[in-house]
Amino acid sequence: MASLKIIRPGPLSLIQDKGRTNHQHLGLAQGGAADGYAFFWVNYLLDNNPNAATIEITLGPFGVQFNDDTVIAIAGAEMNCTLNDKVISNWQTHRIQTGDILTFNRASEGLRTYLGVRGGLQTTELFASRSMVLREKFPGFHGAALQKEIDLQFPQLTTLTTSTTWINRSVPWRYLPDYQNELTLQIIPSYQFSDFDQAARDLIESSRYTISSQSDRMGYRLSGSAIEWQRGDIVSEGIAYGSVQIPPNGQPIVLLNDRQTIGGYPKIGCVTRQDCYQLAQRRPGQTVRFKFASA
Amino acid sequence: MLDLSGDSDFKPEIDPVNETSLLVRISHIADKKWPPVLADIAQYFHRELGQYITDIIPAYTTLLICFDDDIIDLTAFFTAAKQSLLNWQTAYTATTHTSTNSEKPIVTVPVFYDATVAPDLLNVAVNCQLKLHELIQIHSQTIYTVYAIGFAPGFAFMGDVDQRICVPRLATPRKAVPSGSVGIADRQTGIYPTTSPGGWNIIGRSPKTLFFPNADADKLCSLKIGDQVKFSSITKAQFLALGGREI
Repeated sequence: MASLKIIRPGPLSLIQDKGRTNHQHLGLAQGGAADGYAFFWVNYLLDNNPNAATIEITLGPFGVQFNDDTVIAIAGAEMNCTLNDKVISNWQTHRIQTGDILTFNRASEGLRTYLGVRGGLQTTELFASRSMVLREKFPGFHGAALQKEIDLQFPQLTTLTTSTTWINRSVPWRYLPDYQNELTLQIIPSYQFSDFDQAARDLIESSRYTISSQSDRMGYRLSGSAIEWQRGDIVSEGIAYGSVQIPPNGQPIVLLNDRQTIGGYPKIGCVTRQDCYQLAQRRPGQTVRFKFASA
Repeated sequence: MLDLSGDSDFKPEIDPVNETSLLVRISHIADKKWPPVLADIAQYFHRELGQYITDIIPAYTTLLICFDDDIIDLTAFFTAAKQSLLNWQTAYTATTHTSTNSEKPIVTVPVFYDATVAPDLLNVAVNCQLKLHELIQIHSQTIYTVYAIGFAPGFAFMGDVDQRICVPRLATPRKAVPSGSVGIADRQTGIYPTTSPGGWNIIGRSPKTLFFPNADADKLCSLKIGDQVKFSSITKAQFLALGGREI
């Protein structure tokens, strides 16, 4: 097996794949890459299995040294990445030689960058997934963010030829997202939507919400106009990805990958998947709006 | 099994909630008769549409069914799911039924009801105007139904707690409730499978482990929705012998 070593762990770096399946009924979170769009591109560029495990680097800085040759792909927030002190492009694959040092700086925009290797990281699985859900506090590898000196394994690189598709392969510019713009989150009306009155629905669509610093992989807590719900707690039910929960203080929460599996606060609907991925690249202090998707 | 044909509380509905999930609701009123029905529907869906399903989360009166839209789109899955729900209902109501509860084996959970391991035991007794032994007897004589598993891995919400010993959640949750702690919140009781924050009133501690992170998928959790659970009061000696820890 080939490997890389973490030389600078940064504030929060985690192994993420697409997340777990068939475990939420036990109270285990789905987990998985928070920005599924950038994550998808990393594996697509490398011709990897779409579920191949990557490193989800939050904010940066971050640094690794490669113990073996490979090809990597990076996508997501712009971290002005350097390969042995030479600046390299985001949203692209890059050839790596043994001993190479890859450095990610603090993100200038966006929040999360994904580093993938050809063949995917081969870290230990828990509940049939490589994704780390720290808040569950399982002991061992899955219990803490990546630390300095940790070695992560990946398959030995196969021989590269002139017809290998995934060398210097980049995402076409028209697919590159803008993380600075004010995001409008499309909500699929569902769950308790029809029990919110028209005034509440109008208010959530006409308000600007600020992302609070209490936002994380469980969900994004928003500050702004309080959305009223007069009916008290609902019977606890399963919470789908992207659910817009309205707690007693009326401040909406968009629930993401590490959300609790069931809950008793009303939900006005669910943000679309692609908008959730974009939300995961927004930082506290940025603003968002909501718009109900038409049926 | 439950006789649903005459039950006006049984109102099955199914609707999409996002691009990859449907919510099945069988009633607007929570009741201990529903969890075994939900378990049966979940089993049926796994059998009929299992190739598309990525998760089914049952809770109280609903099932959240998540599917993989790389292999089937929402419209097709919704159509198939609606049909499956109808087929299930036909099959279920066609079978002669006896009470669900009497068919299921009862899981017994040993509990050491003592103030040394249960910081709210005495308060709950006082607030409910009961002697300690009465509180213990009432809590341990009910057969509880598992309504849902969530909030934390392996945490089973069970009900219904006898009205005489119902107490609301603590105003300020504790930062760390020890693993095995048995608590009450309103009409629900539960056991904390790992040490975690929590706001339930802790009246005892069980030495029994209910969640096994390193086990095979089907053995991860001892309890599932619809299970029948009874608590049985044990002595300190028994608690320690079963591996219970006082700290």
